[in-house]
Amino acid sequence: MSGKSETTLDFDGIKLIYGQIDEDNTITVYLDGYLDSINSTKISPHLINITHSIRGLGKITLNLEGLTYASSTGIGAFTSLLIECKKKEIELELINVNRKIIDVISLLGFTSFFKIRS
Amino acid sequence: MNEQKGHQSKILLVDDEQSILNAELRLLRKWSIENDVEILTASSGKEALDTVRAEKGDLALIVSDEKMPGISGSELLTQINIDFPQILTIILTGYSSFDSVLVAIKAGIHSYMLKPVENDIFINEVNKVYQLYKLRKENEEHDKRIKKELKWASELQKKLLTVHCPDNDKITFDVIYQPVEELGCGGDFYDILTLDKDRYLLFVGDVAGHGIKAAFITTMIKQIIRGELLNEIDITSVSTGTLLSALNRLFFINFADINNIMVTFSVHLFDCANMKVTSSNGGHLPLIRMRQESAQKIGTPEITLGFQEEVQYSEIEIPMEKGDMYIFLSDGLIEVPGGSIMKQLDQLLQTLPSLDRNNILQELKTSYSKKFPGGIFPDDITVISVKVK
Repeated sequence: MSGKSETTLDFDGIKLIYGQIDEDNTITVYLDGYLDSINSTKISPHLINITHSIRGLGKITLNLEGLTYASSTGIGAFTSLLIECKKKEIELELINVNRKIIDVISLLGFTSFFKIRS
Repeated sequence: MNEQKGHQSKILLVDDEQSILNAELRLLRKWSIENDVEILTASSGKEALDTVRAEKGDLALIVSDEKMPGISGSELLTQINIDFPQILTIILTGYSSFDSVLVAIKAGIHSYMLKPVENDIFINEVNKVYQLYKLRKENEEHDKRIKKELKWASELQKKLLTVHCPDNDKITFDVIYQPVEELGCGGDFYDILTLDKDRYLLFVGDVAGHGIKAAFITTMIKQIIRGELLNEIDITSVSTGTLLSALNRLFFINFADINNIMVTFSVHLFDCANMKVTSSNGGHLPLIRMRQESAQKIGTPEITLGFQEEVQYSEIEIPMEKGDMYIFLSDGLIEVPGGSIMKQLDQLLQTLPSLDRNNILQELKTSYSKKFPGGIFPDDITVISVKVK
């Protein structure tokens, strides 16, 4: 993580961390912990808020290296973000996604909707 | 008619010195009127216990001096804390008695005041602890109201979603439907439509989350299927893919204004005349077929419903044989937090053949409940079996 100012939000097992927009109009958002039916509803508005609050945003990179698990309901936080990104023509990419999470995304039929780098 | 109104609450002052009791009464008179509180007094620990028992524990607060002949204040209040934990307690003590008071505080006394106590400090401390009592009582009332509402929601959902399970010489449907225990209602959904003497439509779905919001969505789904869908489509002659596509569009329209709604859903048409089952799946766990000694999952889920307005769902046709059993479930049965859903599904496929087919749903539920703390499923569970005779 760079030394630039960053925002950290903590909810019941999931931490959301992001810094400033970079020269490529990209913001990298880190998710650490796990996503379940309870904390995903808490974190979802904050993820969506990123699309509203940062001017000139062209891309969001969700770095999921620290995300150990996501339930099928937890994935809802990503789909809500995806819908918002599509509306605003912001690219969304998921990187460092572990196998378990890819399996859940696949089971829900969302594989072709997310740009994923494992 | 008796016009006398009871006080909102009662508190008890305990001291073996009458002059101190009188002084405390005078200090609290105005406060007691403002807060509609009746003040009782007792001049010993024993008398205090008798009073509390006579009031059946219906007291908000007890303020007791520590040093009293017989039962001390800390002994009294420790006993009160055990027998009547809902009563809050304050002890008045001097420095010399503080060690025994510490013991009592560790046992649960809520507050103490060191003598000599200034008048306004006495009133403020009594008021502070009394307000805490009121807050707890309000929370309890609120909790009771919520539980009542949940119970109502649970009964309503059960009434709305319970359907007749066909059981005849060709086919038997069986269902275990269990919302999360704590909430009593949830987001799992199923419905069975008998199209004619040989054909049955099974709908299985899971609204993300549980509780009242998810339960309301399931009742909307019921209305969508039995109302809008049946009006829009001749379901006696339509394919499961077309049905699922229509449902998707209806979900997209109906749930557009509700945030964070995700519904996994599948539709299956059992045709006993032509011995086939046709299946379409939008993000739900795949159909499982048990044939002879093996169990296998069939089909690949397509996209979850409600995400895109127009989706053309495909369907697969599976030949049925007599003796086949088809299992449908929501992920609540097998999804252990932190685990891999695919591995859990594969483990289920290995477990199924060893179970008694005549009692398979109950055995599945019992077996899988052991994977969760206390044997309690943290999510709604739905398990459906369809036996082809």
